[in-house]
Amino acid sequence: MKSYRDLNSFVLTLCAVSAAFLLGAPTARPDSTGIVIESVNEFNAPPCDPMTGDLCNSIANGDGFVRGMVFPGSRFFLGARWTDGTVYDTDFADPEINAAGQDSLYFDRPGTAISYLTAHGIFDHGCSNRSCSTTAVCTNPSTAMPPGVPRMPGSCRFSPMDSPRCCYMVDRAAAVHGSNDRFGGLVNYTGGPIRWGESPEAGGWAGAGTNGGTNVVVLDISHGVLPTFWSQAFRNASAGVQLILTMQTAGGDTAMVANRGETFATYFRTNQQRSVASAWKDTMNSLPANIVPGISFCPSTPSGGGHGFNGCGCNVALGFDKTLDRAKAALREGWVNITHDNNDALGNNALWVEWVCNYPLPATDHTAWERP
Amino acid sequence: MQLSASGDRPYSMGEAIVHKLLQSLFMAASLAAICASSALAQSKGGLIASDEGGASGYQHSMERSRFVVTGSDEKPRVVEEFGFSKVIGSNGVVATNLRNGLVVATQNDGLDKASSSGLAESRAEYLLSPEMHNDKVMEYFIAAGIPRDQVGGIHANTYLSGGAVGDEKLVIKVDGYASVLQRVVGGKFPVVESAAWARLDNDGKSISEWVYWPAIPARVIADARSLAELTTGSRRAEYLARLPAGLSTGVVVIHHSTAADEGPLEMLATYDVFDPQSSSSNGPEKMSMIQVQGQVPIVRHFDQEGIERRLPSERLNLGPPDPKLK
Repeated sequence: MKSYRDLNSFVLTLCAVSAAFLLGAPTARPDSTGIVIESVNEFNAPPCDPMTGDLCNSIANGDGFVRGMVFPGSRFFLGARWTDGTVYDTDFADPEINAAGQDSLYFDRPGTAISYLTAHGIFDHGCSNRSCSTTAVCTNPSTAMPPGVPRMPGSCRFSPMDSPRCCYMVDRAAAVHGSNDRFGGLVNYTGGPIRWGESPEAGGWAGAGTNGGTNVVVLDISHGVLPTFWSQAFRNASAGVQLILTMQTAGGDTAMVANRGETFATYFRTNQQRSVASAWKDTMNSLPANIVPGISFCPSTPSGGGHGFNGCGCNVALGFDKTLDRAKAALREGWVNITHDNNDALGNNALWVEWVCNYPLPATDHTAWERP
Repeated sequence: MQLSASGDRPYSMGEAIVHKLLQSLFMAASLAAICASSALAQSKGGLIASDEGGASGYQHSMERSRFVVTGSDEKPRVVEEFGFSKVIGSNGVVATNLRNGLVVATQNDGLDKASSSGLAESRAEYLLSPEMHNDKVMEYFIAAGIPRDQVGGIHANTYLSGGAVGDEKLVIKVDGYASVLQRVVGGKFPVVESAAWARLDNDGKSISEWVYWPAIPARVIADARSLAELTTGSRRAEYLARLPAGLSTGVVVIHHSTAADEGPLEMLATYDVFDPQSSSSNGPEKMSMIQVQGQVPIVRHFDQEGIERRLPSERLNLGPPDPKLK
């Protein structure tokens, strides 16, 4: 049987090589097909208890993604999986920016297609109590309420759960609880030593070498980004990564559901030619709406927000690149395309963002979250 | 290699019978699964019968979908891949889960950057209001065969996009909506994991959709009714006393395995409760949770005995983590 397989394999390879030669094969391109998953349930001593800040569904959520993506016949393989105390904040930090960082061994290791973190986010919101009707009046960051270090720019921000008020830029971060943390458990991707995706194909323009490699980062956390600071929140971290997928809250919070990861992966199984950004957006629709009293319903939705949020929120996909065309093209990359390292970002000057939000906005609305 | 004692000993008569029975059952189950898969893949869809007193399910299908798979004069391909039967065309894929009947229709919109950079925007400006979109999706799914009396509500989620260069403000526009049906059975019990949603273009054609609407057995609906009596009738105080202290008022719902779960289909009625102390209220300064030491909003599920239950997807754990490299 083995010799038959070998012969069969040889003939197939010969046919493929001949066909490629005859048809004019494209130049070989490096592919990254690894999946890295880091999931944190425990932020205190076991057993998992949501009343003390634990996230009891994170590991199930991350493992659902792994199970959905990595199986016999899949183009993806499991690069690494860390949970709870083995998820260090240094896994996410770049060694070229901070010597304690080790992301090229962990979250941003070369050969990775998708790096998925499911853990906490941070509460910092940068909002004041000053009501407003235009962003022009939001010029005083010192009026913002703690926590966080507010700074310009400001925004006259509103949501279905919040009348317009002045809010200011604050750093965004994920929070982990590793046994060897060096940054207080925070993964500050706005102002911290985070650079993702810096590969030989991207080049070293971000000042972080070319020792990274992940192509897609998923931050399945609370308040991954807040309007209207999409560019400010992620520009530093975008060092070649093709796509960033996360959660944007507009009042309320991300719900720690167990099945966001597996639902997202189902879109890979059903259509490999589907864009990954579209899959992330559609994932929100496929998660249950809220039906339990007491959860902060999204007020604009009669049946109550949900779809992975306690309140109002959006699944958001962000693509940075050198030009707006390339940034926009990042959000058209399919499951096959995101493995191609020649799609890595060549800069981070331009940004294209797409959302799906769990509440209706009128088709004529061009402001969505901000009074201009 | 030495066989273990248990592996080496002869079968007893009883064991042999059980073994034969198990073999037969396995073969029958395998055959049934193969036939069911084949039938599912070729199904024209429609109502899925339940037992007496149960609630019918709905099987979506290519024939009932308004999703356009192919271009004109193009024959679709049918393949089985990754547990799905797929009808594939140049426009997109309609995929049917061979195990549980989930139908997902999505466009082939994936491209390399070099192929899509600079492509002209082909999508027309979106014109429907959320309400109009809801109406069209409701009409679409009812015409397809979803039982009208199982639709407990519909709401629209909004798709948006925008871009900017440098420090410019993003210019944002609404690209459309997905309208999501919520399911109820037994007159009032939400079925949390059942889902039917579609995103339609201006012409009413489906751009993407997801339908999973399994039949609900009478036993599960009866359990839900019992729980409703326990949690609203004279025994309410007795039942609530079995739950952990400090939980808010809940609601009786029906859960089933999610469409993405890979284990056997599980269904159960539970009293779902949320912790009021961790709920958010108006305003971003009250965005619930997330300080690391704070409380985390989570829905908890209790059965008729007041015992907390974990849903199939909540129980998944692939085992110990990988060792760290340093």
